[in-house]
Amino acid sequence: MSSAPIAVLDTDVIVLLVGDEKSKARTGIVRGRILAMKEKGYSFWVPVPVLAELSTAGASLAALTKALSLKLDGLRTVELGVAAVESLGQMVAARIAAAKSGGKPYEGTRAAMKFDAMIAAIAHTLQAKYLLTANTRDFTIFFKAVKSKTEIHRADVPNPAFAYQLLLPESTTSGKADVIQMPGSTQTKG
Amino acid sequence: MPTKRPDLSDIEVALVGRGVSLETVSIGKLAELLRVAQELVAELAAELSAPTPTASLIRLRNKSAAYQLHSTDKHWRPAARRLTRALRERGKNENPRVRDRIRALYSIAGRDVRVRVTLVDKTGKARGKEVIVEPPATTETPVSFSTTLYGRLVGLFERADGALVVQLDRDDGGRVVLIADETLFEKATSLLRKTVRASAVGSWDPETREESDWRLHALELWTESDLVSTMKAVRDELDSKGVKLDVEAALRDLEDPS
Repeated sequence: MSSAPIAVLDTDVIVLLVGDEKSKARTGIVRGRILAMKEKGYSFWVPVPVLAELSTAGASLAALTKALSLKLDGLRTVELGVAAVESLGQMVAARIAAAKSGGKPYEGTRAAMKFDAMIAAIAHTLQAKYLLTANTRDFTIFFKAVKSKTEIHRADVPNPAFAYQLLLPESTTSGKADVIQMPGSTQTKG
Repeated sequence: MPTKRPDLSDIEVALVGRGVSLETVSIGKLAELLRVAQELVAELAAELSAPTPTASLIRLRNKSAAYQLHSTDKHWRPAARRLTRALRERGKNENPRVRDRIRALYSIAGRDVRVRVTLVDKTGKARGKEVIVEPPATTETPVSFSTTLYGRLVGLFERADGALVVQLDRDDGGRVVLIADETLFEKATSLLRKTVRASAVGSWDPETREESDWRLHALELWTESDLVSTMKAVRDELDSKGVKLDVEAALRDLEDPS
């Protein structure tokens, strides 16, 4: 039986992985995180609602969605299964109840909330260790609603538990011999 | 002068059956019994919009193995009464969480042993009607659904009834048994001990929240791509087509597609 810990990817992580020059820093961190987690034996799962969210987003993502759809074959995609639907209902109900009772209002659109809830429900149903996201919105309420053990993991901010050196550092001209760090050599135990 | 009706607001939870006594019930079993009973009371209190009442174990009876729970909490009495009603009606009209806890309480008993719940007064002498815990009656029919499974093909065999079976160690945990037709079974023989992607149809039981009766619809060898490389390839393709992807703008688009 497979015991690989599971990391589920949120939509913005997918977008950041295709990063350009402007997003170089965040893209670098996300790529490093994936590589560090891969070294630790994590398997990566892409919820189908992520693909749906990409395809319903604006024109800027149309080309990305098209290019990605041709390369999905080797990625582990996972549908919103019937087992996740009950959790999804509980999550959405909790979000609505929080809004009704004067809690923090949801910061995204209605559509974004539905996609977020679906992605969270899938991560919970898979018993994923992490939901990797670059989303600043609050997933906590979704996971709390179902007493989930899945943790929200910001993939675009440095995390010492998953450090990964993507680029070789520039050599310095100090008297001592240069030390070149190879990818993976800086990771700490997490 | 009319006699005062006994105040049946304590709950006696008992394990009953031939040879069952306090001595034959392990501490582990007792802990589980009390935990599930407490969870059931908590769920029912929630249904009554009340906080979970705290209760104490105040008496043991050695006729079978009976444990008397008592509370001075004001929310206890309505929850206790609701508990006996829910058990008597086998969870009918209760929410899935309550039904799940009733099922858990029933499952603690095991072979030749039953769980019995009785409302009693504080002395334990005046007793209400005893309720033997039964699993909730299934009211919903299983739902059929399709899904994609990833995993390692670990077994192939023919069952005594002639059904052809493919066993898969799922990447998301657990081993699943899939019924295959001749063609898929033959295909599976060349995929033994390899990682595969399978399309399957299963049944979902809303009561037990379990998947079962898997039928294999498609099967293929599957090799996982490196995620980072795949996304770099997507980027390269966009570059080769002269598509400039502004990631920050794209992320904003995700927030507000309008």
